[in-house]
Formats: sequence, structure tokens, C-alpha cells
Amino acid sequence: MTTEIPPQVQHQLAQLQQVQQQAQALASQKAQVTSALNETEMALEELSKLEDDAVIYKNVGQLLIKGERDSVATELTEKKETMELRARTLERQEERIQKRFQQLQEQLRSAIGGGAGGGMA
Amino acid sequence: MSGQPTNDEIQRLVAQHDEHQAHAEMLAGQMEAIQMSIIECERAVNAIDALKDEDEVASLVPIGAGSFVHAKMVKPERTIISLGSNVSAEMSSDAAKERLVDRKEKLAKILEQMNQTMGDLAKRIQAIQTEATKQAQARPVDQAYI
Repeated sequence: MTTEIPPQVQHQLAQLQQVQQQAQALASQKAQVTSALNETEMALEELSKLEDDAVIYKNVGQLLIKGERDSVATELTEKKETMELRARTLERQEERIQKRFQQLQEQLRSAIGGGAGGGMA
Repeated sequence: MSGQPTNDEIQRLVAQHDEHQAHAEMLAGQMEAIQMSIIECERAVNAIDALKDEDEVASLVPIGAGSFVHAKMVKPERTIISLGSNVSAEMSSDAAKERLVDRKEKLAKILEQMNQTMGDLAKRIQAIQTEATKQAQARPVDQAYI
């Protein structure tokens, strides 16, 4: 038995897929930011364990340039703060998209008159 | 579950299976990257050991495309080690070796945990496949899933 999907439901399905793709892209961005944030935190921790007169270098492309320990620490702290902000923004965007997904899922459920399983990947 | 499986149950199983499968693939990629990092740590430790107690070692420095230039290592007792986030620090080769060994051990522990997670995921995927097979057998022939 085959039944034609109403245009409205087709439209809602397309929207749902679009929202799901947006959610996946956001999750991927958040994973990257979180990973970079963890790396920066670890670098700051390692930096704090070094002796006061330790020689520090910064990677500039393929080159290593000698840097001041304090200024490198300041740079890393600023980088960390920027990434924390970015992570929070992405988190809020994720929450919004999650709500939109649930909303669309509910609309779709009532449109097709059933309870489809599964969730947002 | 009693009676014939509903479409919802089948859909739920398929969604769970896909989710676990995607997770397993992502985990496999991460495990490969960690394995590579462990090998890199081992290589660096081996290099430090090889250069130990060598004065002004004559060596070849790679300049890309399989080409090298002659160079003398003037301070083989000092090593510059990456701290992450594009920052490196110079320290004695012994201290660098210690850090690299420590890093390698931490990575090995993470890899072990990931291996366990992978094992759990494989079990779950297997359980879903078994359940799906059961449901497929319980379903009347005239009701195709796809």
C-alpha cells in the first residue's frame, strides 16, 4: 500500500532535515572549539610548571620564534577567554536549534498522526 | 514486546543502530589519531636517547621533497618540546624525555578507555542487530520494512 505524502508534511520533513544538518554542523564546531580550549588550558598549565627562566618559543608557521614567558601566558589566557565565549555562544545556538528540532518533530508527529521514534544525532 | 513489531519499534532500532554506528566510526578516527600521537612520542624519545652524550653530531636536516642539508647539532642536550596551542618550551633533554614518556602514558590510558567504549558500542550494535533479526522474523511476509 502506498500513500502520497502531503506537501505540508514534505515541507516539514525538509525543514527537519535542514535543522538536523545545522545541529550537526554546530556540534562539529563546538567539538573543535572545546578541543582547542582544552589544548590552551593544558598549555597554560604546562607553562606554569616551567622554571621562571625557561626559554619559550611561539610557532609562527614553520618557524619557532623566541617569546617572553609572561606575554605568551597573557596571549594564551586571552585566547582561552575568547574560546570560552565562543563555546558558550555555540552552546546557546545548540539549545535553540534543539528546541526548534523538537518543535518541528512535534508538528510532524501531529501532522502524520503518529509518534515516530529516534532523535537528533 | 508482544505480538508483531510496530513500525515505530523498527524505526527506533534503526535510529539507535545508526547512532551507535556513527559514534563507533567517530571513536575509531579519534583512536587512530591517539595511536599516531603515541608513536610520535616514542619516536621523539628514541631520538633523544640516540643523541644523548653525542657532541656536535653531524646530521642531515630534511628540507622537504626527500632532500636534506648537512647540519651540526650543537646542543643535543637541549630539547624544545611543544606545550600545545602553538607554544613550545626549551628544556634539558632528560626533562623533555620525562614529559614525553608521561604524555605517552596518559595517551595510552585514554586509548584503553576508548577501547572499552568501543567494545561496549560493538556489543550494543550486535544486540540491536539480533533484535532486528528477531523482529524481521516475527513480521508477516507481506509487510516489507523498506
